Amino acid sequence: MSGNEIITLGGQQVRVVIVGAGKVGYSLAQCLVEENHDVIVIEEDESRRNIIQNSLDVMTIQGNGASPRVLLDSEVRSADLMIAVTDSDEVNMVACMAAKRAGIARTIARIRDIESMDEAETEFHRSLGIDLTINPEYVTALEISRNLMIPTALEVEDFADGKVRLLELKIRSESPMIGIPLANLELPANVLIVGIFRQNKIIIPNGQDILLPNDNVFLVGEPKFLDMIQDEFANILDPVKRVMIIGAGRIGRSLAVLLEKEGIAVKVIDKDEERCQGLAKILKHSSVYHGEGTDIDLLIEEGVGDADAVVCLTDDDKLNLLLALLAKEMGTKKTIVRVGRTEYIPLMEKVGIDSVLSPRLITAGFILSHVRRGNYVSVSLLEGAKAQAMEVIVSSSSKVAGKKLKDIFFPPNSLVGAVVHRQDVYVPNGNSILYPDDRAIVFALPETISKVEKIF
Amino acid sequence: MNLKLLQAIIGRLFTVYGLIMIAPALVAIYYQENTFRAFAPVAVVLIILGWSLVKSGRIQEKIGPREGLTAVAATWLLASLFGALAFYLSGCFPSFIDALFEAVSGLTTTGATVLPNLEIMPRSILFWRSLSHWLGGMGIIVLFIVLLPNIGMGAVHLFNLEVPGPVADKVMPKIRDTARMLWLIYTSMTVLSAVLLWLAGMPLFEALNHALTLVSGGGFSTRTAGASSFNSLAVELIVVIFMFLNAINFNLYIHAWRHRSLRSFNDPEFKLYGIIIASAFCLVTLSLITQSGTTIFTALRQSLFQVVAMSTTTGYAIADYNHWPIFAQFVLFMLMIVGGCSRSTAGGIKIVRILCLFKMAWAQIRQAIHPRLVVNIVVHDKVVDSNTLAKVGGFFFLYIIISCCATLLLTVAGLEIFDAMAATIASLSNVGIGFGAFGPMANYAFLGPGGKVVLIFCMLIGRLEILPLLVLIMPAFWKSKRKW
Repeated sequence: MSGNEIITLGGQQVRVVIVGAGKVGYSLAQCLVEENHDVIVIEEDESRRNIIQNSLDVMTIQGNGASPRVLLDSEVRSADLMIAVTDSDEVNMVACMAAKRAGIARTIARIRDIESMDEAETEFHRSLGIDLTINPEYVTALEISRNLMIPTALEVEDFADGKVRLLELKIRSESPMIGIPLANLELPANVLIVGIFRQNKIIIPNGQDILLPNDNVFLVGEPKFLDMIQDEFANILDPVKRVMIIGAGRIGRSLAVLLEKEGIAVKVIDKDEERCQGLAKILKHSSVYHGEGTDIDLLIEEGVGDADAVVCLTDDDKLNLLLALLAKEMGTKKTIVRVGRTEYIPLMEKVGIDSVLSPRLITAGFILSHVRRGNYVSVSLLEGAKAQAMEVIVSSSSKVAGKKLKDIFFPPNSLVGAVVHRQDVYVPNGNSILYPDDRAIVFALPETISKVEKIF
Repeated sequence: MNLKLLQAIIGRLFTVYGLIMIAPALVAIYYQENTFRAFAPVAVVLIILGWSLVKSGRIQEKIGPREGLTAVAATWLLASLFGALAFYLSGCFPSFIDALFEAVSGLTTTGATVLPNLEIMPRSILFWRSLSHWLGGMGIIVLFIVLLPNIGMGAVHLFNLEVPGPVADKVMPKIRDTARMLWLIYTSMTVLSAVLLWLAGMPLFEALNHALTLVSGGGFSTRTAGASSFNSLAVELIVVIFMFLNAINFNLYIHAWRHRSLRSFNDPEFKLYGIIIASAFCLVTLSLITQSGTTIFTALRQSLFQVVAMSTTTGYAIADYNHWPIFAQFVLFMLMIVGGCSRSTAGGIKIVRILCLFKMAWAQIRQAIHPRLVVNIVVHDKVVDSNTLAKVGGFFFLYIIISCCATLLLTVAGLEIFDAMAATIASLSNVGIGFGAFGPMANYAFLGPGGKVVLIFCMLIGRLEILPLLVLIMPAFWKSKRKW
């Protein structure tokens, strides 16, 4: 977030210290372990430490991440990167500063208390010894606003400076695409189906697979072509003009500001009067209402049914779900829900919530995208880390450079979705050749990622 | 139960085990023994079977607790069966039960033998006995984690199930690195002890065999009379030192190596281990001198060797302690129950568990006087959580109840009560030699097949620290396809 610098970790295996084994810490550790890195987790709470110790191949240390006793441990000092993601900004900052002193080269801290990011602040943090600061709420708000801008999509990820886009769409039941083997589907030249999400599993399809109603499909391609075919798959929706946000926490506030900048009419509802007052001061055109999100009269009065999208951001997963269902019932076209527990994501999507977002996963994905080895540009976690989409730069020393794709042995469950050669985007086939400095968008299941890494 | 996953794991294990079995086959070729015809076919069958299982299985999902327990239990049972098959085919054993007893006794590092005369045995058989000790000492699965690339996240479960001890503390971030380090230390100890024994005058083949059985805490020998037949003080001292070193928590070595300091040996379990051995040594020596009038030098020599051999559950003997005063015998008996440190190659209840139990008992006594007193059980500056304490208590109970049941079954087979109890504890703690009829100079050949089966189970239960095998006898574990 601070600058576009990517913390690259050259060499094979790196040692990462994660401070705080909360949900973000856990997701991070899980991804890093799956990619065969050495992971040390520092956690103060004994029971949380036990959970992570017993389920992941990591080393755990009980203690405070900012305490000298922990940081002077020789296993910790030999680390290459520290990621501090405890609940407390102060602990994260101090841990990173101390880690820098103790000799850890790179540090990343989760810092909540930053409403917007500017150069001066970034510079200040860097001078303290924090290379990268992450504000999970702001990252989440960005993600939601991007999601709202493309109304039919459940998830949107941009790669190669926006030249390539990954879309997740829900297939409508009468879509003409259903039941035809993928090999026979007529898609624009630069669009490819890279994944199907069915019954809580992601399938990397081959030509024989067919789409079924209510599948979620992942499409990769150039944005303008994707726009052309979206309505073949999913219900057509008008661009979002009116958004209702329920819950004015940090995410809600950041989101309201972001949406306002895009010229969208925003209504915010929150039960806390002080928070409402504070937000009303920041917002110029939008309106803020003080009231319970569950107050149906208030929702109807403020035209929840006419909103193009309702975003439920309270701290309570159950309440968010209920509110979203309520809004759907009243005629809202799109509902977005924030969840704390990632296990609920598939369930909520099943009962008709359009997008379910977990700030923790988004944050973990964001941090990971900054902790790639040399030639990785960005990474997104899909469907609760069930698959990853990665942007890779083909290095000149790579095994694949200059070879036809059909001659390269790709690990099963991985797929090159799109290639950016110089400035052109194309969907590769068996005869396509990858050249050094091309950018490839690779779609893969978690267990094959380390194998994919070896190829590029 | 995820069968595909189990197939993949067990298939890999078979392949590795088959490859290892080529070693005794090579020994047979070298010494021109016809046991080659026993080892080679079993090795080939294992490799083919393993390979086909690997092909049909798939490691896709995480290894859950159920799969972990099944994989560990199946690994040990199948490894024992195939080891026994090789023994049986060699024709050196009168029945398959005898062969199985010897194989289990080998893998579990018990060292109880059914062979009355070792000198007439083919060398390849002797070598396979020693090698199975060595494999089982550090653990088949630990070896398998080292040798095979990623078997997924569940390696942690498997590792913790096989490596003895109540608490799973990691010294390195990755389980594979930890396992590699353990085997590195283990192998270097083996090489070192083999060289030293050879220098002390043992023939090379016997030095190698004794090194393998010594560092694994096993107890098999290449001679019927065991370690006493060398009658050399140097050999005995080397044996004592390596027995002592290998019953220490291996994590301490890794710590010391990585931090380049011996600070890690300031460990409560290690200290108690030292105290137990020192005090037992003093008591036995005094008892020998005063009660049976042994000369001071002989008393010191025999008691040191015997105390360390029993405490580390190796089970070598240089003296027939059946003739010792009953007090000294009982000290040895208690040492067998306690065993060595956790995460070592020793068996028994493990010293850290005894330490926790003592502290729990002490805390209860204090609480009886001060009912509102808040007490924490602290081991190595860390509060042991109630869950771990409950597991320690449960383990102790199971150990006692299993030894009672096994003793009961052995008395049915017609054994005297103390003989039966000693045989049970000797198997359960993986010592191998007991008292009375199963004393240091005796063997298990005369025991009936029923008694042997009971002891086979005791040995496996003792090595795997009870639970992995005990869940197999739970009907619910087999019955339900679903998880409840």
